[in-house]
Amino acid sequence: MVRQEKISAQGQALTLFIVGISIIAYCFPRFSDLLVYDRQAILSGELWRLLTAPLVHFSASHIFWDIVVFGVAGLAINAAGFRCFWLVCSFAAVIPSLLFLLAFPELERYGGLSGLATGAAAYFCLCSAHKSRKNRMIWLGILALMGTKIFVEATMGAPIFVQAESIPFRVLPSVHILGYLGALATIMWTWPNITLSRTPNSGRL
Amino acid sequence: MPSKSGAISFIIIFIFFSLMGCAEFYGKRQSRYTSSVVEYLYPEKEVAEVPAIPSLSLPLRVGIAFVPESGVGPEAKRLSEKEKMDLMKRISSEFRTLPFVKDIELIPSGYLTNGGGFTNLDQIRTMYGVDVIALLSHDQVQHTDEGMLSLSYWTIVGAYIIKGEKNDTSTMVDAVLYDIPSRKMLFRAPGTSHIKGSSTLVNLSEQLRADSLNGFHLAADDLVTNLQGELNRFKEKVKEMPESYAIQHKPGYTGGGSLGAGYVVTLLIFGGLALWSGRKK
Repeated sequence: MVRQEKISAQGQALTLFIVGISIIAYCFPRFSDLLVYDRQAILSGELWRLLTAPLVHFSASHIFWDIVVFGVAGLAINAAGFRCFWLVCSFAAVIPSLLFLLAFPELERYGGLSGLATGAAAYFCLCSAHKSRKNRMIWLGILALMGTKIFVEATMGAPIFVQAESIPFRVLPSVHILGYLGALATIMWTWPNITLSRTPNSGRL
Repeated sequence: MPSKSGAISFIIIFIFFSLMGCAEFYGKRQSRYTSSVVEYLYPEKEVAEVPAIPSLSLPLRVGIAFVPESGVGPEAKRLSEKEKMDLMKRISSEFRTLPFVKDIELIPSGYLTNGGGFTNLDQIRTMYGVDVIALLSHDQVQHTDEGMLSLSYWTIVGAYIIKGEKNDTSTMVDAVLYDIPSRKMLFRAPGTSHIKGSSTLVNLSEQLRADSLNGFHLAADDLVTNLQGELNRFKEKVKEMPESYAIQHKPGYTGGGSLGAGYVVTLLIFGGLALWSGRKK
C-alpha cells in the first residue's frame, strides 16, 4: 500500500509539474521559446524540444482548456490508482513531435498539451471501463465519442469545436489521434494489471 | 656608302625606339565601381520616408536584389547578371536556413530602376509577393601599380611572361534588410575583402576582372558570416523591444492541438456523470 501511494503521489506530482511548467512557459515567452517545437532548432541539435513542445501554448484559451482536461484526467488517473500514466504522457509528447519532424517539414512550430490531454482522458476511460462493469458502457460511449470527434476532424481537416479563424495557429488533428493511440497502446502494455494493487474499491475514486 | 658599324647602330636605335613604343608606361591607375542604397532609396535628398512600426508576418517571403550601380566605372568591370545571381544565391543560402523565412526570391537587376526608391520597391513587392527585401550594394576600388619587374617590358617577351603589374582590390558588399510596407530598416550586415595580386602587362585587364569577381565572392562569404551575427542580434532585439516590431504568424507556420470549450465541457459532463453513477451504486 505504501508503494501504491508513493507511485500515485508521483503521478499526481507529474500532472501538477506539467501543468505548472505550461503556465510558467505561457507567462514567460522567452522560456517558452526554449521549449517550443522549432524545427530548425531541433535539426541543429536542440533535441529536448521534441519532449517539451506540449508545454508551450499559443493563446490563453489554448492553454486554459488544455490544462483543464489534462489536469482533471491526470489527477483522476492517479487518484484511481491506474498505472503507467507516465507512459501515456511520454507517448503523446514525443511521437507527434517525431512525426512532424519526419513527415511535415512545412510545420515550423508546434505546441500544446491537447495530445497529452486526449491521451489522459482516453486512458482514464479505458481503465475505468476495464475496472467498472456497471458503467463500462458509459465509459466506452465516451471513448467512442472522443474517437468519432477525432476521426471527423481528421477527415474534414478542421476542428469541430473551435473556429479555426479565432486561433492563431493551425489545428493538428493528428496530435489527438496519436494521444488516443498512446492511451490504447499503454493499456495494452499494462493489461491486465492496470491498477497498482487489486483492492475492492480500486475502480472507484 | 654607309659603314657597317653605322648600319648596326641604326638597327639598335630602331629596335630601342620600337620597344619604347610597345612598352607603355601606365603609372598608377585606379578604378572604382560602386552602388548605393541611399541613392537608390532617397534620390531626392530633401525627401525622407518616415518609417512606421514594422508588422512582420512569419514566415517571411524575402527578396534579394542588387541596387543599380551609381559609380562611373568601366563597363567591362561591371558585374554581369549571372555573376550577380551567383552572389545572391550565395547570400540567400544564409536566409534559407532561418525558420521564419519561407521563400527567397532572387530579383534580377532589371526590375530595379535608378533612384526608384520605395515606389520601385512597392512594385517589386506586388510582382514577387515579398514582405522584406535585402538590398545589396557594393563599393570596389582597384589600384594598379608597376613594380621593378615592369622593366622587363623593354623586351617584348617580358610583357607577356613577367608579372610586373601589382594589383590591389578592396571590396565591400553591404546587405540592408528593409520591411517594405513600413519603410523600416531592420538591420544591415557588411562583408569586406582585400586581394593583392600581380599580372603581366598583357594579361592585366583579365587579371583585374578575375580579382574583381574574386573580391566580390570573398566579400559575400564575409557578409554571410556577419549576417549570422546580425540576425541573432535582430532576433534578440525583436524580443526585447516588442513595441518596435509587431510579429504575427501566418496560418500553417505554427500548429497545435486545440480542444475547444464545447468539447471540454461535454467531456467533463459525461465523465462526471459516469463517476457519479459509479459512486451512487
